[in-house]
Amino acid sequence: MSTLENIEEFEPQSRTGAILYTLLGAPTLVKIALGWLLIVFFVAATAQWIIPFDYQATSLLSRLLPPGATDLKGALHILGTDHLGRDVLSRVFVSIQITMLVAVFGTFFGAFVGSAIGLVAARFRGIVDDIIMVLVDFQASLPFVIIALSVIAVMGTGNMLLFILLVGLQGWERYARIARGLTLSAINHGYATSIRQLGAGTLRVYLRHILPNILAALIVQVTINFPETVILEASMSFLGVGIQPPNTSLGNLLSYGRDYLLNAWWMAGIPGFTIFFTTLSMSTVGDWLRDELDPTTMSA
Amino acid sequence: MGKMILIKILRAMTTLFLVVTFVFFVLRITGDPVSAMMPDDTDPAIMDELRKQWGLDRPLGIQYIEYWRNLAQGDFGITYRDGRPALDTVLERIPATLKLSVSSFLFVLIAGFPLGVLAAINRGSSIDRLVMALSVTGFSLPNFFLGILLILILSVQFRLLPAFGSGHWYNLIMPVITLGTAGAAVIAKFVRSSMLEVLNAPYIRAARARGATEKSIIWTIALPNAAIPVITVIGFMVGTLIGGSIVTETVFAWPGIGRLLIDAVTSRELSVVQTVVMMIAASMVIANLTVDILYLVIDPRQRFASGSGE
Repeated sequence: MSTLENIEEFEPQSRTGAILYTLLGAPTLVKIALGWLLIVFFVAATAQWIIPFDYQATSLLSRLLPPGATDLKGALHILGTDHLGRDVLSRVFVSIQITMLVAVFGTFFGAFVGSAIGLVAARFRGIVDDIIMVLVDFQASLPFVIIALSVIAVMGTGNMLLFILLVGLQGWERYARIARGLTLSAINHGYATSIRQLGAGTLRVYLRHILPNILAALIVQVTINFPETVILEASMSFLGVGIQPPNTSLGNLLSYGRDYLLNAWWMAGIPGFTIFFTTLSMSTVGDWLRDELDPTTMSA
Repeated sequence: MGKMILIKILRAMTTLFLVVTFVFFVLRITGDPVSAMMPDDTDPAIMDELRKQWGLDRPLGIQYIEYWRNLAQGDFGITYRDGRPALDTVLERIPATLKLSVSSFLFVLIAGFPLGVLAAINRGSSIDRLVMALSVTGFSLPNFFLGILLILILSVQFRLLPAFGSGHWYNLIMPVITLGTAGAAVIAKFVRSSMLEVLNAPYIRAARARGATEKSIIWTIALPNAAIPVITVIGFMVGTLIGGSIVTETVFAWPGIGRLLIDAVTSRELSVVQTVVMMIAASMVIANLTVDILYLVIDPRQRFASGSGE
């Protein structure tokens, strides 16, 4: 009895310990990337409380101030101001919040829908599976942005929820393919057969037993998909068919900045580098995580 | 092999069929393309007249058949703004897009292949690390930001190239780098790993044993073999280039179909949107089909492997 208790106590500790140990052993570059992502997520969570200025407040007397300048009232604009005299730092912070909101909700929505479709295909096989696979092939042979644009063309811009769902659906076909393939191979494993023979219902077999076993591969896919979602959101907002004013995203900031490249590099440069560092960090951390999770790529 | 090609052609046609059907239904998500296209304050009588004129008062099934018949006759609808056929509006933009995407495609290959080979033959060295770092950077750099950076550096700072315009060959330089960098990064990474695999193959050791020079081994024996798996990525690349050209054309005010699509989406010029979407889908399907068939022809292992597999 006492040994059992010890094991139960020891298990979670050793897991946290293992995660910490792996993190400490990560290459410096991965640590820097993780640090940047921590800052980004912190800003995303707290933007409305930590911004120094109202992000929508215009001031025509302090237009296009360079980074580090003070306006007429003596207030410091660390990252300068834009063409309407709005504080760039505050706008970047609020934009990070919206960009992350879209990316987090979108990515998980897409992962959920895609994986569910894959599970359904594997469960029912036959005609259901065939139809789903034809749709997967169809999606894989068209750039997603084309589909997103046609839907926006019909539904109009400015519907934030529709936009998040739409952006999130990018890559659903990859989740579907992975979930389907892995489920098909898992369903014939000893454990799945035994559980079924013990009388577990379909839902229980698939959600309680097979899903946890294929989750690692789906999580790896999330790390690939997440930066793609960030970039898709930013490009669509940049093109003017994504987030609409008065809301703002990093893509919007970049698109305003494009018109002021000659005299205010910071308007485009700062949001641009923010997107770049964020996607670069995610790819770096994702790559590292993939190698850590997958023993077969250790030698490569 | 004939049978496999036939299957691939059938699959390509299914995809095209799905695209047309998808566009048809998307246009009717809101129930009514007329109200989506017209300003909100349009006279209801005019809307009814337009519905009748476009056959929207008929049952959905009939509309769908009618839709196919019009497409087959090259009738993609007329533009709302100037009443011209949408097809003409799109066709006149195609040369500019072709010029940009073909040049970018060449850039992808010309930059990607040598860098990948260079990294592979110097595996583990600082050259290898530099190429891989460039590859990760190139892939993570969003193309809209890369384009803006290029304008900032080459046009604003050093005044080497004009930021906009499309008349001269040098107008192509920045858009091509913008559009091609991500692809070149992927190709370099792929060529590297494919080369590394091939360089360990027995036939390379045999060639070396027969006294072939290292140079001829790399360029005439290893590279052609390493290039085979890369072909599949190239098919995928066409999609990336087409998707990317929308952003690139907007950044550089390039008069191609990508920019036309964005303009059409914002002004809700639905007939133009559907024409561009179908054009893009058709070219992607054809590109993928070509790559698939090319792959079968080039790599005999594929014919046998898939012949017995499926």
